Amino acid sequence: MSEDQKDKYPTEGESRPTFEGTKLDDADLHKVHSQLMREKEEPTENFSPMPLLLVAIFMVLSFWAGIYLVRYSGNFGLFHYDETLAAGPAENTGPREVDMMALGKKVYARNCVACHQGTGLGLPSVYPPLVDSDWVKDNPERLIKVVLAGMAGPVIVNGNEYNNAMTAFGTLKDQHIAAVLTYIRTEPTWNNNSFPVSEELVAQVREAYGARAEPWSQAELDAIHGPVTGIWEPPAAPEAPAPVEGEVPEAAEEVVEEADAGTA
Amino acid sequence: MKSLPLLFLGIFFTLAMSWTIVVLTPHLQMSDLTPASSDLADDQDNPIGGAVFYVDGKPQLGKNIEGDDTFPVPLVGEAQRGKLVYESMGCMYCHTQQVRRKGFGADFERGWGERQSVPRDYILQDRVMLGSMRTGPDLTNVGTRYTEEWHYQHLYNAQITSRVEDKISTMPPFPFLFEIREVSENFGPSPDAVDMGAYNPGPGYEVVPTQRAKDLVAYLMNLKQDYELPEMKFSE
Amino acid sequence: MSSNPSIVESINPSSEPLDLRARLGEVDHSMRNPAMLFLVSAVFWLLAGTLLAMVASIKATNQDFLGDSEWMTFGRIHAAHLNSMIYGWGNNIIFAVAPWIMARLCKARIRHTNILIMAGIFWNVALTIGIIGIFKGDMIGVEYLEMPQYVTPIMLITYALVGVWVVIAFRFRQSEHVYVSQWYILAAFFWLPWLYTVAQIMLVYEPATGVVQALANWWYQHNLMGLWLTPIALGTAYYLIPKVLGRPIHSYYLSVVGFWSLAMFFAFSGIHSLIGGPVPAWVVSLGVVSSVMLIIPIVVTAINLHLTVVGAHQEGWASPTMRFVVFGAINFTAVGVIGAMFSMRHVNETTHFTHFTVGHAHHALYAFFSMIMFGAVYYMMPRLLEKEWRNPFLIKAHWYMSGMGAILMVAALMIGGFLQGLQMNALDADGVPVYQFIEIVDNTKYFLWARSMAGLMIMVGHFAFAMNVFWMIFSPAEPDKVTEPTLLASTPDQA
Repeated sequence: MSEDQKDKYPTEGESRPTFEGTKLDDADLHKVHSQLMREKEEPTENFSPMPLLLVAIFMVLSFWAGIYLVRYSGNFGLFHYDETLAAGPAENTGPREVDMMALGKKVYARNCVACHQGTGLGLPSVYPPLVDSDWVKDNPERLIKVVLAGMAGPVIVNGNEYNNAMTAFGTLKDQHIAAVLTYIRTEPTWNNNSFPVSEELVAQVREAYGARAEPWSQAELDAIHGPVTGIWEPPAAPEAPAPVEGEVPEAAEEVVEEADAGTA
Repeated sequence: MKSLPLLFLGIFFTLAMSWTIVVLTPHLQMSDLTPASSDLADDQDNPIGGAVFYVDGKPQLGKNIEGDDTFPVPLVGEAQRGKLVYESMGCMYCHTQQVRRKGFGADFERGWGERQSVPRDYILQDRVMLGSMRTGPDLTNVGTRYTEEWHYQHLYNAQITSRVEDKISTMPPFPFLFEIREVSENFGPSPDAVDMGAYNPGPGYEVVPTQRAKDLVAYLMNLKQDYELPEMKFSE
Repeated sequence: MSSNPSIVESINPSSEPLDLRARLGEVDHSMRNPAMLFLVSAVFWLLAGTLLAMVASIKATNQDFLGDSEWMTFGRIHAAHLNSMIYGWGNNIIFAVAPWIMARLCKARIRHTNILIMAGIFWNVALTIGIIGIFKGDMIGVEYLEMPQYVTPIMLITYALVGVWVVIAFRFRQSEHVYVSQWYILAAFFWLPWLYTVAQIMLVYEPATGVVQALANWWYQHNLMGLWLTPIALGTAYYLIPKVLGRPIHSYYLSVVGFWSLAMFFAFSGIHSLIGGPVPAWVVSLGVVSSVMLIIPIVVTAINLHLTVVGAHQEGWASPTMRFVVFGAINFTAVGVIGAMFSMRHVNETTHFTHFTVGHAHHALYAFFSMIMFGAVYYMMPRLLEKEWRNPFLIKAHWYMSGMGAILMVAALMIGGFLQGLQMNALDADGVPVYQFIEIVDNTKYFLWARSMAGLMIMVGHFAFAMNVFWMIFSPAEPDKVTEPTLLASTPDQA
């Protein structure tokens, strides 16, 4: 018996530790007995070998792990975020054919549904509707201005007053603004039955008013475009005039007059 | 396995290895990141920012275009204080601040960002709260989506802005960030007062945001990743 | 020596010598004060944490509940619940059970238990201050480390004290063979202070730059689960299952493989919480791979424990300890397999950021860890106090309520979370989201109601547990009267 053990269990003359030598007295002994003696032995382990099937499974898993790491780690590069691509960030492709209605629908879903709702009906007294709306059927330049700089103050849409604020969405691209306005104006189920909006028109309005930072009020917009009537027709498409020096062709004069009438 | 020293070594090395590979190595990779302009400059003689970009599949050191704005920008003033309010209210338990790439989930289609978030977006944040639950929408670009007034209303009681028919928003209300007080007889309503719709107090009273609410909204209005970086352009 | 013939007869000739039994008795006796201090604290924190969980769960569907109070705002209740469960219930019960198991297995004479008692007092005082700090608004915006900085040093000292004590007990062990539980407990007590220190430095004291914070945070969070709570729970299961049944563990070799593969793979797997996030693809791939490789320790441990138990089901069903511990061990297998599956990127695309993750966390923390710890309490307390459980009905109430509550909660959150994820990602033919966000919130509320119901059941179970614990503590010691363990059913041989 080692010195350590002698310390812990004083033997009092005997060669092995005894109950008497421990700190337990008879009453404690009884207690110790009843619970400890019915307790099973302290746990031990058998030495059964590991099943080979398990080893096989682990090999397969390790193999898969290796392949996965090699394929999907992008050369361990810092700027490689998409594990499905070869090394290098995703490049934007150049301009391509765009379905304005589909694009408009996506832009709407990404930017407008929070307030105007997915249905386009808005929230009564809170957010004005875009479905069957006199504003939407009216002059597109009005709408472009609102999208570029936002709106504030009381607005009357379809005869109801709304007094909320609309965020500016000037950071959207011209093409996207044209698409979303085309969508809300021409979507058949939305009952506006109005006309599409072109990217060029958006660019024109942005050039003229893009620097404006304060949101528009209804009064300001009415001052430029007149009251909201819900009726608007695009100017007739001008025929390409053969430019005669000094002479303004009749058709062009008509266009200028009609364009003026349109924006009045 | 009886030997304490061997056991200890094994236990030590497994954890040390994991920390080195998972935490230390990315830290070393990212330590050179600095704010960047949205494109690389042509002149690459004196590269700054140090970190390697891939251009046409080949690694290059990057230099910012001189005179261009660099991103990200640090938070200052009210917005910085507002971040502490965000932390103290536990907003990160329901809102994330990370946009996943287009095609992985519907983050892009929901309008939560024009591109995925990248590490460079977070280098100037002293407390990065990416979040792990979307009980509420992602907030990475919330500064581009709503006005200040919307935020005040939403914080006071989310039903004002977000309830649709019988579908209730489960965002907790924060009325304690606001003060309900009497409209001043001499000076009239406060310019800071916010119209809370159906939740307005009775006549003669107004709801005014406290400084904490203003800080928090300033922070939220500053949450945007609406700039491009050399390593990540806007998705189409 | 005692002259009671029935006790002499009960001594099996092949059983361990009496002096060994005496040593075990002395170990139990000398561990009593520190273990009971930690155990009672753990029970208090369990009740507090469960109450906070109920409040949080109600607020998730009824946001106006206690809505005017800043102290009770959802974010703070969430943080308080999390911290009181992990550091209050989890750590306290570990500090009660693990040193006791280590002491028993080392068969060393226990010294300096005052260190443990001091550590326990400091721990609970610090925790209380920390939780109040969270309610007050001093919360730090780091998940799992929300308690304010002013309590961190005290907690670290406590870890150090208890950990050092455990290592010293191991160093001066009297046993020849080192049993598997000893590796797990030793490893856990070594890993935890390191994890905690590194996480505190990198996230709170000297925050790392940018997303490295997220990497460090998830390294810490998942390793707290896998390199602290899991090894302790496994070590406890490895001790209690063979001990109660009187059978050896099926295979030493499986134990070794299970231990080292857990250590190796778990440490990297935390990154599976950043799939799709603003981190380089290689880190994410590493997280995915190591999470899937965790199948190895899961399967190995499952086989080892199952083949130890097989054939002894009736005996196991009779013992309250076995019911809880085996339930926990089965859920270890379940949570590991499910976790591995949902770490794959394609599946994670749906489940990330949803209630599924919450379900997974509670699967691990409650259905695995807590249930094993309950089993340990049912075994340990009679031996510490030298009394028996007063009321088997309360044990059954605890078993059924906690068991069914756990299954209901995990199922509700996983199914609800998966549906939530599917709806979040659903796009129509034009590539536009099918469900508006508010619709998804509305659709998910049914599953959250189910969770609240499960929480109610669990709360009832915990009250039954607490009642039984305090009943035993305050009941007078009558060693002569009670000589049988409290069993929940009859066994072929009443052991």
